[in-house]
Amino acid sequence: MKQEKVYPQYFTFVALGLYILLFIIPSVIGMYYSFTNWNRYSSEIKFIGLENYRTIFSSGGNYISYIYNTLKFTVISNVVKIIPALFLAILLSENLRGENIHRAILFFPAILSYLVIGLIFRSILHPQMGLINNVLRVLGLDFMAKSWLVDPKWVWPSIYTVDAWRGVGYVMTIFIAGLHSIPKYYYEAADIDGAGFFPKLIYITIPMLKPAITINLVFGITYGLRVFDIIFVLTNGGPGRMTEVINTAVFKEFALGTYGIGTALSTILFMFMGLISIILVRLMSRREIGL
Amino acid sequence: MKRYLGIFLVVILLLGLTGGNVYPQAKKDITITEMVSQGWTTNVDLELAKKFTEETGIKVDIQIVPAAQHHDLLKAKLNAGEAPDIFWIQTNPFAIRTELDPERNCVDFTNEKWVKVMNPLRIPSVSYNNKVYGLMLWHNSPEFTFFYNKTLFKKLGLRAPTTYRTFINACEKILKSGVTPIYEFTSQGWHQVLAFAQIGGRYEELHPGLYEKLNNNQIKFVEVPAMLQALKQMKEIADRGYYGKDFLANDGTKAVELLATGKVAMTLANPGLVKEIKKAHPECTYEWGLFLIPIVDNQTYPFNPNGPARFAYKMGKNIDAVKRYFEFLTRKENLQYRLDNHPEWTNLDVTTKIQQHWLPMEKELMARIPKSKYKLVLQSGVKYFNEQWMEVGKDIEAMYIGALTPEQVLKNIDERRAKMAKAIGDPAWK
Repeated sequence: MKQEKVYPQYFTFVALGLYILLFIIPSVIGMYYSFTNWNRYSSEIKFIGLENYRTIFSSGGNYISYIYNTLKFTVISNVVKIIPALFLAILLSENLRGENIHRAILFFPAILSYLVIGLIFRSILHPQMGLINNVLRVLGLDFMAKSWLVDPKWVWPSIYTVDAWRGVGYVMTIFIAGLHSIPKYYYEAADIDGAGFFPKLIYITIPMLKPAITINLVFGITYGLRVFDIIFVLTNGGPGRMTEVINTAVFKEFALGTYGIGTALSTILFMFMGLISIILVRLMSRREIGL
Repeated sequence: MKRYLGIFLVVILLLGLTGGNVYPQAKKDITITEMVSQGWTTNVDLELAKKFTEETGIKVDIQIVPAAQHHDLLKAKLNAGEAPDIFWIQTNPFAIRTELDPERNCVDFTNEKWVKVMNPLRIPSVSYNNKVYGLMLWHNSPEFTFFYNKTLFKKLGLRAPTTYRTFINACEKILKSGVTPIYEFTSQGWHQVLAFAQIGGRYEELHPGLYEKLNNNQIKFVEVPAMLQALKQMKEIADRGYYGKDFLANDGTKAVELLATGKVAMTLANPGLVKEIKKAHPECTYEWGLFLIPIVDNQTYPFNPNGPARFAYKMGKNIDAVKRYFEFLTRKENLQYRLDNHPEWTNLDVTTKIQQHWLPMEKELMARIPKSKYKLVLQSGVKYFNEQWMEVGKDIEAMYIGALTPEQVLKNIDERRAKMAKAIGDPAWK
């Protein structure tokens, strides 16, 4: 059946025009620049074909590792945020005493600036003078004191932890909103059937939370692929280049004045984001059809 | 009557515009923004800025940026056309073109009187195409040699090393005595490069004409055995534990405390560090000395007429105010104030006659090294190296954790040099 149309299509033209002007055209221009030698030192811009991409995919593996790090961060940072956030949301929707205070405390890091977080955690995680290692030493747990942000083994887990500390409250808030939209009678029916916590979680909560999960995944994946601030303030890509990601590399290319390579890296990031967005949108549409 | 009133108002306006100083009278609400890397500024700059505000009403907002982020942030701001009124860079005659593009970004100060205050040897580093763009007020002390605890060395029967082998032996003995031999810090991104770059004279000594060949692209860094050896030796020093356990987390802030309390024996620093130690730890009785970086058996003196300098943004709105500020900073009384109140400096390299405070240990080192051994450091003699200082720092850090080999560090330097040279259109790289 044909749906009734309330507004004519040309109502979208202004918004579409602005979107094209402000987003599509700059993106296309950016992509074009990735095929040029655009740089700070010369006003002449020459078309050089795939040279910048050749540099990215062939120069000693550095750029490949930045792409790999970005993808790895995207996957792991989402896992370590979404799962705890789901359980926290369930916990804080159970009419706990002072649940609003708990929610506020958990959400608080999300409003802090990255610079502040960076300064705080660089101090807390310092191997000699940091709070964590000093507490561990006082408790006689010296073997657990690590060089959190400079030891190649611990630097990524430290970043994921700080990132989760910052982001879990935000993800949790979206889950709480989702949980409130689940009708209570599902749980009452399950209770009558004698279902425990996990059957209710698997057969009621998670399926009914799919929209919230999708939103968190979309936000989380786009955040993960565009990650810059948390890495920049905590490690600046170090130790060495262990934690460099695409956007820290783009920043450095722009700082070096080699804009062409910078835009090529941005284009690669755009391609990844585009691809993942298409997959997610398709999954979402399939779900909607299913419903 | 109306006509006379009009003329009167015009006269008042003209008087207002032309009266007073050679520079237009500053409005009270002018604020100059100044961006500087953490290690290049001290409280003296804040105090002088305050004095300037008292005198002129112009405020100076000094934005201090962590050293690891300063270079990239400044470049990004310049490239975006949003630079502060005053910004600093580590200069050299090559870097001024590649780092700043001065004709596009910087105010031309050639005709300012204060240009003559700078040592003529420093002027090429802040000039481009015979125009002066920067103000460099810097010291002339022996730059980044080993600053060491003489008392501890004597106690352990050690003398200041002059070869790599004697240096390693000294470090081993110090380590066994329970003291960390060297305070190294890499988290700010720049300090770890010094051991490699300050001995540029030694590379030139072992490979005569090297700087020229590097600048003409007739040789690459990776093809210079002495450079490879230097990095291998630096790695060996780190692997043997002479930098201590967590040196990758060090940011330089503990140098004074650790030296003064005898927990570390030496660090690469300027001699003025002794002033900081005396101020922060008056109880400390250690005697201090200097020796040249003995990597690759270097015994050349790191001659460097370059240093951090201030530049003014051409598109800035407060150029006249900046000119007044620079004139203020270069007055004799303010130069003397800067030196007298600087926590580290013992001298100021200016032509104005001011009272210098050279330390005996720096005089002793400078007297001991023959003038023929004064050699230009790598960052001042070779193109496209200084510009990538922080990137080299990252690579050296990566080498310390085993993620890169010394050869890869040199290859990366070559790659970045080629990238910059090609972007500039350097004929030697075509």
